[in-house]
Amino acid sequence: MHKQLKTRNTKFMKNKEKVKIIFVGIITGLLCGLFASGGGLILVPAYVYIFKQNEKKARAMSVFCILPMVLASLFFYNKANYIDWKLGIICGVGGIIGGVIGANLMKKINDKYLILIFIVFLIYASVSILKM
Amino acid sequence: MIEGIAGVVSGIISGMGMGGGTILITILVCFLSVDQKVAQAVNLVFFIPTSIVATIVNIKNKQIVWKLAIPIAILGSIGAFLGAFIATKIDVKMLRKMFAIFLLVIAIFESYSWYKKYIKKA
Repeated sequence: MHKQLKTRNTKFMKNKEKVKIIFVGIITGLLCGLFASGGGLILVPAYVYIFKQNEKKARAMSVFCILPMVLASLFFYNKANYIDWKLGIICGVGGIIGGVIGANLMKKINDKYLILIFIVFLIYASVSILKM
Repeated sequence: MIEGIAGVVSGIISGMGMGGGTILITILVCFLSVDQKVAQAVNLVFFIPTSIVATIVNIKNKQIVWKLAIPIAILGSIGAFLGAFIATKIDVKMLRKMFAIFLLVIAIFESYSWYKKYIKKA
């Protein structure tokens, strides 16, 4: 009797986990396709808080998952001719340089204040886009 | 040249593990008057090379839990396919407004987790 209850319980937990995965996957994908950004900002906390993974694994998995989402999105952006390769390459080269600087800075700067600056920038950007 | 600097700035933010993509799109749209949809496409292209390299390293370091990663990657791709279809079809002004609201939601969300991480625990 007890054993039966236990197996039913684990089955229930497994189904709950599946529902969570479906929910997180679809929502992240939709937003990722719609705004072509922000996937990591959703997936990393989702992996940490919902699926109880450590931060390093959460980041690794979010990058892995977003890659196919980006490729799927590119299909339509390319079809509608929104890809500016020249601009993309210029930004891309800058991004590689910045990425190396950022990865090194991460060890030195306290992200307590950095996240605050990021939040202020997001609010400022949001308001100025709404005013456009 | 300014475009390159925008790339460097968002690269630094990405390298530190925050939302570099949102920053890149914002700089392109707000300060360089790039069309919202073109800016979003730039960010997609921008993401590919670095993420491939990062993923190879992450797989080698066994940082990926496959049973949690594969289903989300597949479902996410389906979602992204839909999202990108909508993005290319709707009016650019509408998309830009939605993006601004999206940024605001992220800001609120980040503030909450910042509070939880640094104030409540301290």
